[in-house]
This record gives sequence, structure tokens and C-alpha cells, in this order.
Amino acid sequence: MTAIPQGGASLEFLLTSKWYGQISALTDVSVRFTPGVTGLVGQNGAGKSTMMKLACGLLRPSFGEVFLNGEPPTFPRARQSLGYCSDIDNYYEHQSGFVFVAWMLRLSGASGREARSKAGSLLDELGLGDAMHRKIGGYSKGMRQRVKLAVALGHDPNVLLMDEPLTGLDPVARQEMAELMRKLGDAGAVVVVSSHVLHELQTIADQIVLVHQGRKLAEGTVGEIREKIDDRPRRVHLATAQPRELAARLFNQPEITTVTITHGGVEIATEAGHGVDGFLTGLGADGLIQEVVPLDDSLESVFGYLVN
Amino acid sequence: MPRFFEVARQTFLLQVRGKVFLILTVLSVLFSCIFLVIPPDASAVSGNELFEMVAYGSAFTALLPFITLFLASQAIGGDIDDRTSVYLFTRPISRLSLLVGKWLAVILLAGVFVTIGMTSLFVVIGLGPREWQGGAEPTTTNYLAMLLAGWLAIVGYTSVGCLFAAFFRRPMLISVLYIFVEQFASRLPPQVGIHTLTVAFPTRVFMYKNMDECWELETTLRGAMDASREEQRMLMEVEPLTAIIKIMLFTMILAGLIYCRREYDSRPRE
Repeated sequence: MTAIPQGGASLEFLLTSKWYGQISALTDVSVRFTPGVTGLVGQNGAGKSTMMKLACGLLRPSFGEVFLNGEPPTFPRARQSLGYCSDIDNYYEHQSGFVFVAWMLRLSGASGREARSKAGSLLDELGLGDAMHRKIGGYSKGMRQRVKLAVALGHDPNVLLMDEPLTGLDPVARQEMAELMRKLGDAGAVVVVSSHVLHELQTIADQIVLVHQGRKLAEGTVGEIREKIDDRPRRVHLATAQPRELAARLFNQPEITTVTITHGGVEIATEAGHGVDGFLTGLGADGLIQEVVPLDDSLESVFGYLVN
Repeated sequence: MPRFFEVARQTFLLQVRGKVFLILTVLSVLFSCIFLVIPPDASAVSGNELFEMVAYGSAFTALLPFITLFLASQAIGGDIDDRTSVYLFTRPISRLSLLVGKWLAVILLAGVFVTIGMTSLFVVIGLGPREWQGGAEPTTTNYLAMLLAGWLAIVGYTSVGCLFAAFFRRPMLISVLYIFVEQFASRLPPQVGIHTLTVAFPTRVFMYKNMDECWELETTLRGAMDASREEQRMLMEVEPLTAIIKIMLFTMILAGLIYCRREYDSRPRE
């Protein structure tokens, strides 16, 4: 993959609201997406796709503003550095993948020769080398997804919006796609990924933006967001070779509500709003604890806490 | 090369490769060949008149507006309908360029179709048996006048089609209604004063002014105009090209404003 992001990438929502008639899809969302990979998480109808469409100029905000590299995305010039991988699966079925990608590159400003050359190499890199001259109508779901990626990446965008990009890809391709997104993020591009596969998103994204019912619930790393959730008990697995001894020590702590001896260690739950980090550090220093594994710091748990 | 040419080129190729265009073209050629199989009454009509009557009666009153509006609906409304507009709308190209590119493609498509249909009709009638040509083969002047009138009408109808496709969720339904209303309006008495707002009337005037004398067609055209001699004289002062350009500018500016402001709608249509 040859995307070379240019400098100064940014995507910003400023008190953005979007109404569809009487229905509010997004309410006063302010968020700045910085270079790196950001996961956009939310349930169906939470406002993720609306945010994506506002960011690429398909929709206009009802209130507030959206800036793509400092300009409203409805300006064609702002979209010069935008790559959008939409969640739709519709194509001009009579066109070949090659012709379609070359056409999109031509509309992005490439000359005919450049567009053809780039389309060929991109599709080849994405594993469509043999099928690129066949009609898209005969492509499998995975192949269609790759065409979409080629269109999104072909003109070397520095802001990349990906709505469910992993859908339809096989495990190897998913891995490659995740690596590509990370590479682009590391190179300075703003990569915004929405996905329902939260554990996969957690491995790709540096930052998470959680949206629910049209509002931004939280942003930051998963750990940072979890830290802010004080009203939920925390569950931690403590790896130890002496589980009974450790359990006995833990029972004496008033903040710890439950202690369960499990295979290879002890699982504890603490009261909401209380941390036992200092106490556990002491036990670690005594050699009783080999490893502390938070059980509810996953994106799924954090998302569940916030939404419920 | 401006980017709208690329939009026009690909839209044209997409439509040409589609089944609809092929079917329409084959049908138009087959339609012309009917006159080889079922020869008309030789004493009633000459080859020249037959060509004009068939071309005018079939093409200009129904087929041409319908096909042009259909192609415009497909090229512009079709993208919005099946949501492939996402790819075009997120490219760094203005919506106006997209619209102009598609408008150009539809004009070319409909023009190709009309040229094929009109030429096949001209050739079939010209090559037909002498006994049913009534001694007069269709003239090249009349053929060219019909063809140019066809292209003129296409520019007008494409612009109207672009407006419908940009504005309505079901542009084809509106287009069918429009064809009926337009044909009716173009036949209203001249005092009503809406002739020049239609595409059909300036096209008729163009034919009337540019064709060889042909009594049958003249009668039809005069009848269609439904006006007294003095009113006809006034109507003949209409400049067809100017009237079509006015329609084109008005509808395309309006279509551009709507299309540029139009938001993407991801809701599936019934």
C-alpha cells in the first residue's frame, strides 16, 4: 500500500448537531480527531454514520460546524485529502474494478495514465490482480470491500474515514487491514474507524470516541475512559502461585467486596469509586502477586458500563 | 481536461453498456423495419411524407421526450437511488461539475439513440419499394432538419430531466406526467402564452421553418399549433434556438442549486 499522508491532518466537530426533520441524530458533539487511529464506537443509530457523513460532506450540520483540514468538507478542495470507505455495498455493477478505481482517481485529479497505473498497482496489492478487469457485479463481498478500500486510499489521503472497513474480509485480510490502518496513523494521518467488532477495534485504535443516542459519551484511550468511570465496581485477576495466602490477605481489605480463587490466581471485585492500587503494589512487592490483569478494561466492558 | 468530461465519459459508457440502451436502440431499428413488412397505402402518402409523419408523430410527441427524460433520471436519479452517489459526492469535484458531466452524457446518449432511429427510418423508407414511395423519397434536407430538431429537443428535455432528477425522489413518475402536460400546453391557444415555455413548441417551429414543403406535416403542425393565420404568424416569430437555450439555462441553474445543496439520503427506497 502506498498511501503517503501529507502533514497537518485534522478533523474537528464543533458543537455539531444534525436533525433529520424532527429527529435528532447528533447533538452538540465537539471532538477533535488527531493523527493516529481513532475508533468510533456506538450502537446502531448512535450517530456514528451521521458523524462520518458530516465529516465527508455528504451531510451538512444543522447547527455547529465541521472542519476537514481547516475547511468545511462540503468544499471540494477540502475533500482532496479525504479518503472515505463507506458502509454501502453498491457499485456500478457493469464496470470492472480497474475502470471504477481509475475513474475515481481521475476525479481526484490524477491524469489518465497516472490513474490507470495507480489503479492497477493498488488492486494488485489488495489481492485483486487477477480479477481487476472483471465486472464488479461478479465480485465476492470481500473483493467488493477491497475495491472500496482502493478507492479510499488511492489518492493518498491524510484523513481516512472508514465505516465498518473489516466487514467481508477474511482473517488474513483483516489483519493486513489493521496493520495498514496503524501504519497510516503512525505516519500522521487521521484515521477514523467505526466498527461493531469492538475487540478488533481495540487492537487497532489509539483513541476511542464513544457516542450514544447522538451524544458523545467519552473520548480517550480505553484505560483513560475506564478510569473515569467511578460508579462501577472494578474486577481484577491477580496471578499468583499462592492463591490461598493471597486471598486471606485480601479478605481483610474493606474496599474489596468479593474474592474468588480461580485457576492460576485470585479474582477480586472492588467497591465502586475505590481503588486498591496502592495495596496491590505492596502485595506485589512482597512477591505475592506476579501479574495484575484488569477484567473490565476491555472496550466492550467500558462501552457496556457507559451505555447501560 | 475538465473533470466533468471524465464524468460525462464514464456516465456515457456506463449507460451504453447497460441493457436498456441496447434494447431501446434495437427497438428503434426494428420499428423502422415495420414499414418493409407492412407497406402503407401508396396512394395516400409519399415516402417523404411518411418519413416526416412517422418521425414527428412517434419520436417528437412521445418517444424522444420519454427516452431523454428516462436517461436523465437514470444518470442522475439512479445514482442517488442506488446510493452509488456516495463515491462521486466524496471526490474532490464540485456537484455542479458532476451535474454538467451527466447532463452532457445524457445529451450524447439520447442523441446517439435519435440519430440511429432517425437514420434507420430514413434509410428503410428510402430503400423501400418504389410503389409505396408515391414517387417521392424522403429528402436529405428533411432528414437533416428532423435530426437537428431532435438534437434541439434533446438539449431541452435533458435539462428538464436533470431538474426532475435533482429535485424529486421519483423523477420518472414526474417525467411521465410532464410529457402529458407539456404536449397539452404546447397545443393551447397562443393567447395563453406558454408555448415558449415548452420544449415541444420551439422544436415544431424549428421543423416547420427548416423542412422542405410537405403538406401533410404542415397540416399536422398547424393543427397542433391550433391557431389562426395571424396567431400562427406571431408564433412563427419564435426563435427556437433562443427558446430552448432559455429553458436550458433556467432548468439547469435550478437543478444545479438543488443538486449542490442536496444531502445524501441513505434510506432505502421502496
